[in-house]
Amino acid sequence: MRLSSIKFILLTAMFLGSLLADGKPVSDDPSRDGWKTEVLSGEVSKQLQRISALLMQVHTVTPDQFDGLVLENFRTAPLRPALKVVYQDRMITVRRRTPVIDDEGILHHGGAALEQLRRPYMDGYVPRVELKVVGVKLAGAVFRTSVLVNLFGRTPEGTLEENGTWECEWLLQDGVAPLLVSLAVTEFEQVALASRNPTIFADCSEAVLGANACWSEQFSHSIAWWVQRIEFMQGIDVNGHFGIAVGDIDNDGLEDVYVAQGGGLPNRMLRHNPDGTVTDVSKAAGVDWMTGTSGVLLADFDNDGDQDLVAATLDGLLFNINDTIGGDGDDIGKFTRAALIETTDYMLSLAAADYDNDGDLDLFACGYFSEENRGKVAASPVPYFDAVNGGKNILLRNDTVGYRQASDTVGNERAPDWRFTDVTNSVGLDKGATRFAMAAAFEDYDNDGDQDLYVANDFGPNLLYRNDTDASGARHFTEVSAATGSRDRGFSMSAAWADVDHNGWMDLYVSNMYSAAGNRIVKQKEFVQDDPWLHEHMQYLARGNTLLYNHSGTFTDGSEAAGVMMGRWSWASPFCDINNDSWTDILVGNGYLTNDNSHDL
Amino acid sequence: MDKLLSSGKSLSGRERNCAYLNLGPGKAFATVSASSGFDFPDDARGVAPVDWDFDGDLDLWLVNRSGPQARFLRNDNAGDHNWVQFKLEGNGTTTNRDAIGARIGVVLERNREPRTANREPIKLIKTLRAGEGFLSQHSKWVHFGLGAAAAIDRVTVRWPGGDSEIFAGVQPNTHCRLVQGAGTAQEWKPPQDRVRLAASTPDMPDKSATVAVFLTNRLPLPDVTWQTFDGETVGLNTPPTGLQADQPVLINLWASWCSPCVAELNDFSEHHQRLQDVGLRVVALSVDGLGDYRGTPQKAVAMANRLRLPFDTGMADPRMIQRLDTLFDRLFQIYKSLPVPTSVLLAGDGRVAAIYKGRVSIERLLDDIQHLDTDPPQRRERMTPFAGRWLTPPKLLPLSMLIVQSVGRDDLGSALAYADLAIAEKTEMASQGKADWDVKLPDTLANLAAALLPSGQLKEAERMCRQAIALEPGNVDANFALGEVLLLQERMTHASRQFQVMLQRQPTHVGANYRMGWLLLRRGRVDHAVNYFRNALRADPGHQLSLLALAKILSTHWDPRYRDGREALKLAQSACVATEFSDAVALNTLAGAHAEVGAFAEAVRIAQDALIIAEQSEQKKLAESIRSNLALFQAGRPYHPRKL
Repeated sequence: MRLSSIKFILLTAMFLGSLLADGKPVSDDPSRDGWKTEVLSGEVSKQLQRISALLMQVHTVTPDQFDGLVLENFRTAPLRPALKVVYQDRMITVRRRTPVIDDEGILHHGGAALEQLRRPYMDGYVPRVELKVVGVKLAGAVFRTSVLVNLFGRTPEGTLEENGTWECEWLLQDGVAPLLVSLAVTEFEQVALASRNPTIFADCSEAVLGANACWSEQFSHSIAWWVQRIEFMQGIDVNGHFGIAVGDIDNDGLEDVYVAQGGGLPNRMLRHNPDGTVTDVSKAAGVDWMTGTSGVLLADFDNDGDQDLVAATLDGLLFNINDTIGGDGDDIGKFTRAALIETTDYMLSLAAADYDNDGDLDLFACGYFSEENRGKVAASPVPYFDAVNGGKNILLRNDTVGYRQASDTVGNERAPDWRFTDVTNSVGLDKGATRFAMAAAFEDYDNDGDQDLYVANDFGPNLLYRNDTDASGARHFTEVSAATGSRDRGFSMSAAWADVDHNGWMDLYVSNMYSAAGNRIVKQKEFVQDDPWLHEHMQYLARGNTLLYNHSGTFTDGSEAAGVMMGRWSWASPFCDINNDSWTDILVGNGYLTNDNSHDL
Repeated sequence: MDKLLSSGKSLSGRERNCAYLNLGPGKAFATVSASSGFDFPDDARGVAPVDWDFDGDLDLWLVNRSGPQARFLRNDNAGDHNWVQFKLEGNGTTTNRDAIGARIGVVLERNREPRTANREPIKLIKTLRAGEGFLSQHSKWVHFGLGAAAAIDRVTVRWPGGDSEIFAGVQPNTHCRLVQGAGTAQEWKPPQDRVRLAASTPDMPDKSATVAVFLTNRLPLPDVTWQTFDGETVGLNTPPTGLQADQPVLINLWASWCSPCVAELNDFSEHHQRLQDVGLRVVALSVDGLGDYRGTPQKAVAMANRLRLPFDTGMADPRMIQRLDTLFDRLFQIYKSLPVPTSVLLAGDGRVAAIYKGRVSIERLLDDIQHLDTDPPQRRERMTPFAGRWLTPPKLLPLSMLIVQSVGRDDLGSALAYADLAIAEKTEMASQGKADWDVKLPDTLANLAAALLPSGQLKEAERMCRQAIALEPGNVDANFALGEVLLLQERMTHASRQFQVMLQRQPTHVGANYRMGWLLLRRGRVDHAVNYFRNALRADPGHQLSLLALAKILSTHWDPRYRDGREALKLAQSACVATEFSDAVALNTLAGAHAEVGAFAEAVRIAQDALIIAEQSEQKKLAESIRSNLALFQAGRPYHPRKL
């Protein structure tokens, strides 16, 4: 790549990085218009804040509140257009706008339009409003903005959530704020929840965790708080990449929870009590590891009937045998350290599966960045969009011999020989292994009876490894992302599998980064026009999450039609049927770094 | 990016989580982020669905970077949809016990909703996984929502390891155990003694303003001095009576306008006897008016007089503040600035053993002093408020990091102070057999030497180079830097020898080759000089200095045997392109080359450009020389200066 291209990437990365911080959009052509559109966007945002305030105010909206906000003769079609039901069950009703017709009926002035929007909400006002400029175009004295609209509040029946898009035109005049000339509602969706409960999910964290000291002393503080109090060299990580595993450690039928933590903070084993609360049993269980830990798994690696623990720590992959089976009565729910496999690189997510179908669980660990970058707060991927200088992924084949049987009554002595062999290279997983892998998920995507593997990479494309048995009967992975259409090029943090459309083939959802502003810039032809490779790749930087539909082992991108691209800086994004209607839904965890704004320290 | 993250600024912060409801085929998903109650503005990381309360719908465990770091969300789905859940058990020999990788299919009864377009029974499929998505592991119960379907025709399981099995008689709205080979599902009854968990908004703690950390890593704070209010410069090596030079010291920073500072000073005052009894020396220094701090030294004096403190006071030395800044920045991943009050506790060896941002209580101070005599593992235990198991000994910061930090801030005085300490430490470690301690030190010292050159600190630069070479004789950067230093000291013979020795080990080292060329040219050994320049260019065709030096010889040497105008032109062109035709020296050389090939008009034009640039950047000598060249070119003569 030419030096100028590299410079451009770095500049753009910084540029987009700063955009992500405050979400301000930029012009269609920043190189030509410069930053003028950004200034205008700021002014429009201020006006939108006035509109938000009107929607949120308690008393009725009065005409005088529109002075300096809209043009005198401003009129608009209803802000809540005619809707039709697209989904209904006892709890949830989803309505969307009926197809646009030319004559929308009466045009309202500002006050009436806002009142129409406010009316269904309890007490006549909307308690939560967000209006965000996501696209701009400057045409002389007219400034056009696309605005994302989010409303949420209670109604007499339950709650109402409304999401839509406004296309606004503003008149620019010297010395005054932009005036709204016209507003068209291009998208509108309404979700009404009929329930005693304010939302589908209720936060019961305090009830479940509150009796434990670790709740108030450790978990209640953010990592931003902790990194100012724990030395960096002892392994705390400002990025906060600490995982969670669910598994029944004491075989009482209730699944427990293991929460990973950064260096200097102990990982916590939370035992699931019969009444639904949890008790912190980390110390007694022998798994209160202080070393910085990222990925964690609870699974039966020695096939003896209890859940063992594996943790990706800064000192290596740590295996802990569960002593519930084979130990004496005192060992229920307790672990013994079994093996520490040193890794030269910083590892993130873990995934276990029996890749060779030989009856025991093998382990795949994502290598994020390599040893020489460890200790730096952020990785240094080169080249930025196709980086292969990350940490190396590892596949460990389980060669543990001497399984403990349930009838074995040897005291606390651990007979099994916990052996794992690094077979990464010999099975073909070394191809692409040094990308910046963040997450992995096994699935039989081609329905041929073995576990294939999808790896979500940061700073480069994702990879799909098809598992086959070759002519000699040996297992081999072949990288097939390009051939199958699953090579998502966004900067991915997570991947999930489920049959979304019930066609018998497993589909994929990949979480990436979304930047409204980034989207606007990178789609312009002028942008990096002299480097088509760069142009194409930049689009994926800020595109959002991806839904890939699988049919017979080939994937097609259905993200846009499904409307599931918006996340922002997305992390774990699992499939989950939240309303039990058999059609699996999607949850997206977002947010990179929220740091304290207080200047106290 | 590192700077951004460590500055403590937010980046993509306060982003709400999203949730999308699948409405079935042919329809876009509905956005239910707010209605779902999932849309916390947390910095979310892992999500693990699990039917925690066994009511048939999936609850969620979340882990976040922001507080609270763990959330439990109960699914209060009030819809009337059916469900079924399965816990699989492999035989533990041909199939792994957890049955990870199993493909489960639920075939709904014919003629029941939901149906496919051609009325075939719906088969819902799921795979059991251990670990999926970012840092998350879900429940091992495989959960199926069934919608309105009220009957299950059969359940199929393809066990990892090959064989498939069909389970009949599975009832909706039950938890079932599927044991490999059993053929029938066993219903599992969840425990009945659940309490109804209350929903609440977790009470987040207030952002406590003080920080007290007993450090694992004890870093040096060299040359601590301050100015007493009488104007005397004092250091730590002159302790007051009753205390010894190797006893602990508390350096406290305060300001006259800071009321917690004043309260704390009074506190120290009141308990001074207790502090003295444990051998602590208190040095309370004002930052009034220093750097960005408000106030004035006069106000500090006034305050000190009012308080009548029984211990050392005075004005802090800005250099010490800078060193504290460096320390804090290296110790903690997020560091903004030193607040007031701030205190650091120095152990008897002068190293920083504890830091306190905000006030520190007497009790905490006394407790920390009592624990000063501890080794790194013990200190690490004390550093964190929690007990637990560590896998490896504490990681200690190599002192070269502090050198790097200081050079980066242009604080060369501190860099030198740390350098001596780092060298001593590395030597000590080597004698203990730890040869791989602070491997970056020789490179760091070489960089420091290079950084010292612009300010003419040649003696110190030489010392740093020699120290680096003593630690690692083959260190390329240090050896080259030493050659440069000797050159600047005009010890030409020594320099020459140094570069020659270097080239024996690294014959393609560009800098050394160039320098040898330069040195030999001075001595009139043109042939040899040219060879060295060519060597340099072979290793790096873009090396500016070599390009220009060689071009100059080829275009201006008085002896025509050494001249080659065409090649000079090529080389000078390269040099000018690389500097985008904006470097006067390069342009001047290019002009000379043009003159040599007889292109005098071009030579004049370029020389004029060079002159403008030289004048604009006030390079007087260069301008003068260009002017005289210009005169020659205008007269149609090349520049061939007489041999001196």
